[in-house]
Amino acid sequence: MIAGQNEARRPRIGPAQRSRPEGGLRPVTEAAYPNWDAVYRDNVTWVYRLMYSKVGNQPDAEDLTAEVFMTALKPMRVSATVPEVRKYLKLTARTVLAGYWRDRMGREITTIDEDLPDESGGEVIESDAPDRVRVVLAKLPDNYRRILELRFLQAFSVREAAQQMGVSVANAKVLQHRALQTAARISEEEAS
Amino acid sequence: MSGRPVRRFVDGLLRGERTEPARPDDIEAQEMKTAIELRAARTGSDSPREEFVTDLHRRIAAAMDDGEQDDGRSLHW
Repeated sequence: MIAGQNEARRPRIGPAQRSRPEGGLRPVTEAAYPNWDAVYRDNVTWVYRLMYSKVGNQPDAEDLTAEVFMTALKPMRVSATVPEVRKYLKLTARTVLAGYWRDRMGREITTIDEDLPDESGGEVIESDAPDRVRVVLAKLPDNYRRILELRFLQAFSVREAAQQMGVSVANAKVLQHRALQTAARISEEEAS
Repeated sequence: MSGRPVRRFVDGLLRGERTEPARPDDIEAQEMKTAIELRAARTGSDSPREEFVTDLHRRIAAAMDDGEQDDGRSLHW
């Protein structure tokens, strides 16, 4: 199913190669990878980071990254340009992530945007999440911002966070839950 | 008002565990999304493990070899 959805977009010998000036050097944007090993080594880090930013945990990010490469690498053509390969990997990642969420949650919790990398060979790592997080945190009351920073950004346990804030563990749990609810509302407002 | 599904999700997320199945409503889904963004914003937490990168490379190499044998012809690379 996943492979089928990407079938039509699979990179092949394409216009980029046909448009190469006769006798001229191949432009950088039309450079191709020499083999699958080069594709993997050049792209595995950004694919993993993209998936991590969408699921927030290492085991699932690793599984999804593996699925992307196992799905995408075999059908790729050696002549595909670097931008074509990156675009295809991102499309595959988008499909894999959507299937992951539908399977676990019955809906897509996070998505990979359709804004695909251009053909200039630029970086394809996408995420304005850290900026969004900063904006949301800045709009929270101090105690809400503090509990979320301690728990999510600084990896404190709930007990340690409670000690830092001078509240009970039970209060810290309630504070965290309410802070997340408020942050989610702000985040939704910011997005709309 | 969101409740148990979000708490379980966030507890697992902060422990670095796999996502457990759930059926969140709209509000809960937004809270889960926000929790993921907060967790993913932690500095230095998004680099792949060297062991993972090496192991996946080995698995792909094996899969490519199998593909060649199954097809009875060379792959595209």
